[in-house]
Amino acid sequence: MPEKTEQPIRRALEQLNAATDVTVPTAGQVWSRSQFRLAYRPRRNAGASPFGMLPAGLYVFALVLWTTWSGWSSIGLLTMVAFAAVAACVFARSITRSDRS
Amino acid sequence: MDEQAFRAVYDATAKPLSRYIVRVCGKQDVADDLLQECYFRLLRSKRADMPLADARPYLFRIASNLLHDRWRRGHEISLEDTAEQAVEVHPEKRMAAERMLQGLKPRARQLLWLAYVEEMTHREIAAVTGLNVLSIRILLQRARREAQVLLESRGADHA
Repeated sequence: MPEKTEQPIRRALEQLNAATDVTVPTAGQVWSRSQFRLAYRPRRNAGASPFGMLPAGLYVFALVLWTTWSGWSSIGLLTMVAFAAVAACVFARSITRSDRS
Repeated sequence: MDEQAFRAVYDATAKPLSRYIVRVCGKQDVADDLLQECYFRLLRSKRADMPLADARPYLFRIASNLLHDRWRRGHEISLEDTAEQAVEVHPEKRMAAERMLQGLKPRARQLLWLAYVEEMTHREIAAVTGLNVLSIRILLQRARREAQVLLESRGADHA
């Protein structure tokens, strides 16, 4: 679009910008309100680290291995048990999170 | 981000950001809430320690997203509050500009403000609004055309 037709729009908006008298809160006010909100906001994700449930998962895995030790040596069974342990771990974690929030 | 760094960012950005929100959403009380929310989200973000040059477009992007959420929820956009707030510099010219802005859709208002008041490039506007550069070019062209028609018709009405 030619400069000529842009100018009235630019001028009108600049005029409006200059005429708009806004009062904003001070930086200190915004800082303290934000800090308050940051301190007291709901912490839904607290303890939700992907490694948070690792010890529990390992414990479940070890327990299952120990109880099913008699005669197993197949990789397939081991994979299945490992998968079940991970699923149990994820399920336990989701329960813990929904209980907390 | 510590308080001193925050003050530096706030002092450099609060007024232009507030004017942008007021002019696009049209309500001073809503603009105050959105302004507070913008800085809260900046402090909450993992990128809070970014330099001022990055913080400014980031804050405009947050404001644009918040404004967009309001439009999506169907909040009415009226510019009556801002008309009352304006300082009388050149009343007739200001009224013409005010009416032009009032006649535009929120998206057009937003794009024209970012382009002409904030002097942002198409790429910067795209980053702020989340649209692509080609869409910005087309929408901005359309917005200019609408603004021009509104300005000319207002001028003809008063002639």
